[in-house]
Amino acid sequence: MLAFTMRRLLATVPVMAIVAIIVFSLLYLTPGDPAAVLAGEQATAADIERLRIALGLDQPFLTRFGQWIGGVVQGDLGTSVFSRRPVMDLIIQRLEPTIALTVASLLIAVAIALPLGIIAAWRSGGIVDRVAMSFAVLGFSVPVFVLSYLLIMLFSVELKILPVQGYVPIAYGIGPFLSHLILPALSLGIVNAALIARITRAAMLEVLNQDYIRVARAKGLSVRKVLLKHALKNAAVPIVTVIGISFALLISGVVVTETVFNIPGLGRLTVDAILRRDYPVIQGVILVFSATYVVVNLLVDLSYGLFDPRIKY
Amino acid sequence: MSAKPPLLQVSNLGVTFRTEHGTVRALQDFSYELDAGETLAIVGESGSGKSVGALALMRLINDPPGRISDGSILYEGRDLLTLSEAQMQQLRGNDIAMIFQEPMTSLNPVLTVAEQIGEAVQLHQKVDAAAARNRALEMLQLVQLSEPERRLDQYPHELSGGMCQRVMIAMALACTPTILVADEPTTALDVTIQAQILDLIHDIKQRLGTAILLITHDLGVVAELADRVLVIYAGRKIEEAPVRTLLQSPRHPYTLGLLGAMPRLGATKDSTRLTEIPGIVPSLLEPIAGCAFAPRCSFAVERCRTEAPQLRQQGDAKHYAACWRSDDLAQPTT
Ligand SMILES: Nc1ncnc2c1ncn2[C@@H]1O[C@H](COP(=O)(O)OP(=O)(O)OP(=O)(O)O)[C@@H](O)[C@H]1O
Ligand SMILES: [Mg+2]
Repeated sequence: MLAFTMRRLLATVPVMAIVAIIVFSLLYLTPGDPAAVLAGEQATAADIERLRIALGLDQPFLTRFGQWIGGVVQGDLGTSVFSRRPVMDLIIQRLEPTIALTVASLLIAVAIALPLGIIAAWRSGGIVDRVAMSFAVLGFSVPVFVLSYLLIMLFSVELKILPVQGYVPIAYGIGPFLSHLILPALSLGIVNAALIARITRAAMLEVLNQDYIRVARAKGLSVRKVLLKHALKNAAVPIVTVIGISFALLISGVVVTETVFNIPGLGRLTVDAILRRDYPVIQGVILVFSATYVVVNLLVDLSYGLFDPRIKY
Repeated sequence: MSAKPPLLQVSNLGVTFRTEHGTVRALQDFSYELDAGETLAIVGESGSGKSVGALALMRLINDPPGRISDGSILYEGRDLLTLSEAQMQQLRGNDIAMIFQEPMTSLNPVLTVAEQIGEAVQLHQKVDAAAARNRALEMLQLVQLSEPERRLDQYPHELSGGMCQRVMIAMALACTPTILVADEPTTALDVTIQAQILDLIHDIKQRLGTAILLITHDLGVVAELADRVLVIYAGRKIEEAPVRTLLQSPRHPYTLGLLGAMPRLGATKDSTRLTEIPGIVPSLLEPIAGCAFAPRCSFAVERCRTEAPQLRQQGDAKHYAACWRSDDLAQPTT
C-alpha cells in the first residue's frame, strides 16, 4: 500500500509537468499581444515595447518557462500584471469561498445522489426510479446559471428567505455564512447530483442482481442493511470514481456560480483575470485547479483498496 | 405415527411471474409436508420450478415480477404468507436457512468470512461481535474447513469453490435452523468436492437433526441423502414417494424417464445424473389442457391430452402420482 502510494505520487510528477507546460503555453496560443492590451488604447509603439521588456515578454520561450517554473516549485506563481501583487497572495485570499462552495456542493450532491440512486436501483422501473431518473436527466441538462437564477427567483425574490448574492466568511458567523452559501452550493450540487445518481443507480442495479444479495436476504437481513452494507460497498468503486469526475465539473461550475452569485472566490479571480488578460494570474489559478484535480484523482485511486479487497497494490 | 402436525406444511402454493409475453405460472397447486429432521428431495428438469418453490418458502420471490398467488405455508402453526416482512426477517436465517447452487458467487466478495457468518448470528441471537466471531469459528470447525482461524479473516476470492460452499453451509447453520433449504448445493462443484460436501450434509443431518429440503438434479444425491422424494414437472408435483419406493417403482412416466440411466441402488455412483428426456418443457404461459407431460410421453393415450390427471395414492401408503396410466406402470418390470 505504501509502495503503491509512493509510486502513484511519483506518477503525478510528469502529469503536473505536462499541465505546467500547457498552462504556460496558453500565453502563446491565445490571440492578441498582451503587452499591447495591457498598455491600453492610447499607448504608442514605444510604450508597448517598453512594457514588453518590463514584463520579460521579449525573452525566448524556454528562458521564460524556466524562470516561471523555477518560481512555481518554490511557491512563487509570479506577479499580477494588473494589481502588481503576488499571484500566490491573490489565490490564498480567494481560497476560502471556493473551498466552502466546492465542499458544500459536493456534500449536497452526494447527499442527494446516493439515496436517490440506491432507491431507484432497488425499485427499478417503479415510480421513484422514474421520477429520480427524470430529475437526473433534467438536472444534467439544465446549465448551472439557469438553475442558479431559478433558485434566486424562488428563494430570494419570491420567498425572500435567502440573500440574493454575496459571500460572508465563516469567521463572521455560521448563520450568515450558511445563508449565503446555500443557494450557490445547491445550484452546483444538483447538477453534480444528477450525474452521481445515474452512476449510483447503474452500479447498484448490477450488484443487486448478484447471488450474494439474495443470500444476504436469506439470512434475515433487512432491506436497508442489504442495500447499505452488502450492495453499496460492492458498488463503491464506480461511485467513488464518478464523485472524483464530478469534482472536475465542480471546478468549471465554480467559475460560473461565483460569477452569478458574486462570490469573491477563485472562480471570480479567474474570470476577472481573463477579462484583463492578467496572464500570471490565469496561469496560477489553472495550475492550482489542475493540481487539486490530480490530488483528488490520486485519493480516488487509493480509496479503491478500502472498498474492494480484491484490488491489490 | 402420531397425529402431530408436520413441521412444515405447504398447501396449494401458486407462484406467477409477469413477463412481456404474459403471465408465467411457475408453480401451481404445489403441496408438500416436511417433518422435523426429515430430508425431502425435490427433483425435476431445469426450469421445472424447483428454485421458485424454495424461494417462495423463504418469501424471497422478487415482486415484481413474481408473486405468490395462492396457497399457504404453515410453519409451526403459522402461515408464513400472512406474516409481515419484519416477521419474515426474524424467521429467515434463524428458523429456515438456505444454501445456494453457486458457492463462489453466493458469498459477498467484499466482506470477510467472519463478517458474513457473524452478521446472521448477531442479528438473530442478539450477541456482540466477539461472541458472533466465536460462533463463526465454531461453525467453520463444524463444517471441517481447514485452518479455520485463518479463514475467518479471509475474503471469498481467497477460497476455493468447495471451501466457499463449506462457508455457506456454516453460515446457514450458524443459528441452528430447523429447516435447511439446499438448492443444488453440489452442482457447481467438481466430483470429488461434491462427495465431500454431501458427506458433510449427511453428517450434519445426523448430528443436528436439521430438516432438509434438498433440491437436486442428481439421483445419486437423492439415493444417498433423501428420505422422501418429490418430482416436479412444469411447476406441478407429479409424483411423491419414500426414496426407495420412488427409485424402485416409479408410477409416472416422467419419473421413469428421469431414472432412465440411473444404475440400480448399490451400483457405482458414476453417471447418476438425470437423463435427457426427448422433447421440450411446455410453455408455462398458457394453461395446459390435460397432462403437461403428454406431448413427450410414450405412454400417453387420448385421455391424457384432454383431461388433467390428479395426484392419486398408489400401492404404497405414502406414494402419490398424477398419471392416468400409473397402474399400467405398476406391472413388475423384472
Ligand atoms: N424472474 C423470473 N421472471 C420470469 N419467469 C421466471 C422468473 N424466475 C423463474 N421464472 C419461471 O419459473 C420457471 C421455473 O424456474 P426455476 O428457477 O424454479 O427452475 P429450476 O427448476 O430451479 O431450474 P434449474 O434446475 O435450472 O435451477 C422458469 O422456467 C421460468 O419460466
Ligand atoms: Mg434452480
